[in-house]
Amino acid sequence: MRRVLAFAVAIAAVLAMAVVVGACGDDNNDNSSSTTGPDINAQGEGQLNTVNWEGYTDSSFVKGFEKETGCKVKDTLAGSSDEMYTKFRSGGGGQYDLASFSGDASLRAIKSGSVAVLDTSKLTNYPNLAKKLQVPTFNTIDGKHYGLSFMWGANVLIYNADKVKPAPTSWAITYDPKYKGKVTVPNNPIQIADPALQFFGQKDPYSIDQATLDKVKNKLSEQKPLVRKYWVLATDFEDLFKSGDATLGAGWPLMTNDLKKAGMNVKEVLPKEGVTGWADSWMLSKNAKHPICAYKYMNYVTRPDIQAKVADVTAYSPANLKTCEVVGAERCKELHVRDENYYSAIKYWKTPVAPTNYREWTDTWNQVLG
Amino acid sequence: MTGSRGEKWVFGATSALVLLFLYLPLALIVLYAFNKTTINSWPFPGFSTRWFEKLYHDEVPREAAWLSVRIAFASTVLALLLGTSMAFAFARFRFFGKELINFAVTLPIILPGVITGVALASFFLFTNNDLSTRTVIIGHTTFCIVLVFNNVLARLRRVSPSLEEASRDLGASGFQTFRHVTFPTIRTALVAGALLSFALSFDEIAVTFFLAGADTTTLPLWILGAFRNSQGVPEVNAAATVILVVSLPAIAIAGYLMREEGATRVVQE
Amino acid sequence: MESGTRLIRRRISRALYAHPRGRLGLLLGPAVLWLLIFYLVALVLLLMTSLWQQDFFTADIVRHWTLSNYDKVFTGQDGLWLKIYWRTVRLAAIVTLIDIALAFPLAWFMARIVAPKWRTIMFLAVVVPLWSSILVRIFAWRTILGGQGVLNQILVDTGILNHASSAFLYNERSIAIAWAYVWLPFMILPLYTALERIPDSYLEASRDLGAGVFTTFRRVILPLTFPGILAGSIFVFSLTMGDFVAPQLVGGGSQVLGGAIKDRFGVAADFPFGAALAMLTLLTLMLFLAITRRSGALENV
Repeated sequence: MRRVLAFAVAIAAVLAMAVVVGACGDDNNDNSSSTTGPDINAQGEGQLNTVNWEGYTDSSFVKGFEKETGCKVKDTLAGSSDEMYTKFRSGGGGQYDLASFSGDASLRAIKSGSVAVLDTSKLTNYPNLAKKLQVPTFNTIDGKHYGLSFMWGANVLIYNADKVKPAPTSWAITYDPKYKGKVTVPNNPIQIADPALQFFGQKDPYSIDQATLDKVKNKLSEQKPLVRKYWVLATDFEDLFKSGDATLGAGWPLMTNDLKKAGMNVKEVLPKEGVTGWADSWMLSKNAKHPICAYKYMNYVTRPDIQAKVADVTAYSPANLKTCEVVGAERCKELHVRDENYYSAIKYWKTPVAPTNYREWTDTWNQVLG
Repeated sequence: MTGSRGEKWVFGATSALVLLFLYLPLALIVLYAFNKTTINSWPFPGFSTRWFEKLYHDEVPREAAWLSVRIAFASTVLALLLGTSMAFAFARFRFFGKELINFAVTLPIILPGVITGVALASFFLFTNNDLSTRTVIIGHTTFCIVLVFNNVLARLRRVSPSLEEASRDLGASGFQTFRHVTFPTIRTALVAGALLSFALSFDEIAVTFFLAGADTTTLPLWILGAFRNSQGVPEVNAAATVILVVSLPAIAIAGYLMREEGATRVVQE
Repeated sequence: MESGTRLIRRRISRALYAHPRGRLGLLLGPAVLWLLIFYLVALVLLLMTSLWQQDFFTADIVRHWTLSNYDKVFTGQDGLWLKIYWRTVRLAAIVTLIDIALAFPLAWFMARIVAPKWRTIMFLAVVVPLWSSILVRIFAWRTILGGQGVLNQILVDTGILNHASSAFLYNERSIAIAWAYVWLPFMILPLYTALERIPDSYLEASRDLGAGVFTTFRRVILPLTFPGILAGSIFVFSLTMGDFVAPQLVGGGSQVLGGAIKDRFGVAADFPFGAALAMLTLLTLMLFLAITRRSGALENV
């Protein structure tokens, strides 16, 4: 009897406290919407917290920034837009000052009110960005700039040229049973857009109906036995190739770059069915603790010489057109800096909303994985 | 001891295999810390100490290790205070709900860290707290309390309270009795609990993952992050080797303590 | 005349002596309060979260009471989540059994065959791996089981395989191996303690009464070591149910509970669904604990 009583008292106490705590918590909606940026010539706050893609805070150029500005960069890497967004929003939203959101996370950030409007007068390299990247729909709404375009690129087909002959030209090779156990694709629901675009003719692969979603699910399930591992981190991808566990993969130019540097004969190709891709913008948190350092960083990494360095690390395409003057005509062509056709051919990541929404995509993806 | 020759050989051989299983990965970690290349293949590509050099000059893991030490220290101190006082309450008093409280204090360490982690993450989300070093310490302390509690309680149960009564009869005050009579008897239990607590907190990843802020990169979190970058893996092997070597003295101390107590009762209790 | 602090200390001492309830409150209060706030209330909040929803676009939590998350867990998506749940339980059980099988001979050897002076060293030898980063130890299996790793190379060199096999890594098998490896010391230690406590006289008596090896094992050793086995099992089972590190580092596509929960909180913002999965895990483990509590195995933490 005493045991039951003790139990009951404990439960009551705990529930009471939980209700109190639960009732207290509420989202802090900071509604400051001024577009005047901070004084970028002032002394920085000494630190900068970022959450970004691999390579965007590489020590080869970050060290220079830290020396120049005294802002120590504390970066956190994310493997997917989902992860980046979730981290950015964690714990009240002031954790990170900057995030390098791709188009599928940028609109979520804007809609949820977690990012500040940027003052383009304080963004020194803004006028030199490619015109399309100055007011793209994924970071500019109603003339308000919520993000500064930074780098962009495509999700390419990467293959081990020693093991895969002849050179592939179609995504169908990643569904070919001949390569069973040798394929790797990203562990990311947004991957659903790829088959939608490449095999089911969806011009806008992010707005697909349930029927198409089901077809894609079946296609991906067909692919599952061929996939050695669904990669999450860049290392996963690179390790798979290095150890010979995978010879074909859907990845980013960063991986081709890294593997080449490691001495492997890997190549990438944009298959004929088309590619998805991403265009990344730096976005500033509304509750950023270090706005001056944030602006300084944005201005630093969009400088032509630094954009060249970022491109060296990632092999992505820089947004600043003046980068061509620094790297020379051939490299400029390699990086597609001025290639508008290339830019337009890519179907950039966008959060699916309708007819099927991202939650449904995530559910479908989970079902494919099992 | 007991056992025929045959028994000795069978168990000895099996045990050797099990120990080999336990140590093979460790040996490989140490081996590949000296890997010349970044590809951990077999046969061994070749020796180099470059990763230890890189580790030496890299301030990021150093700061991460230092943060882990600070967090482990703070959590251990809190766990010592909370766990010891609770053990005394259990040993010296009878009260309502003992079994329940005992169960509750054991839960955080028996249930997987992911549950503690997401529960506390939800808690801090609702109370609008930023994730930071403080939230990590809170998480760690919660599962460390029981480590101290169990050790101290087991010891208190073996020590007769009549010693303390005698001390008071001889005129010592409460504080004096504690300092000169009680404390010495529980000292090694405190050390055992503290060592366990520190070790668990230092290497903790599950709870820490959900409670760390942007600024809070503990050593395990740094390692997890370093895995993202294939250049980082050998450096991580070097770091793991260093951790192992550095912790050997602590293990030796633990061994010395256990010898004092006879076999392994101290850590187990 | 006593000095100031001495006087205060005496006063406090006397007050505490006179009010045992007060002493109890001071001793018990802080710890109980801590656990209440930072654990039990947190668990209740987790439960509450599992009854809410999260906007898929903005990731704002919508505090609208609903059972849809549980509905999804138990009936949704053609039973996907139940499949994941049972997969995790199955793997946890297998890993626990493997660890018992591996731990027993070593624990027996340490407790009953080895001379006392070596026991401490062996005990420490079992503990030493725990002092190396658990992440690195799991990652090491990637190296061992991979295409260019030790296992494949040895099998190819000795001619057992024609070429490196991909069957060892990035699947449930590799997760189970990594888990069995990492938690093994937690099974060895309680088993060792339990085995050490069996007096020699019991075994001699059993032999004198004519019992063979198996009978002695079944009727004397096993019952006496059962609490130790249970203590170890609780740890191993629980830790494997919740782990998300091994699946990420050495797993393939198949998901397990721990990974699914972590993904909902850390990657895809669906806290309520993650909370529902966490509650399911919690319930399973509480059930396991309730069944084993009788044997007093919990005291050997």
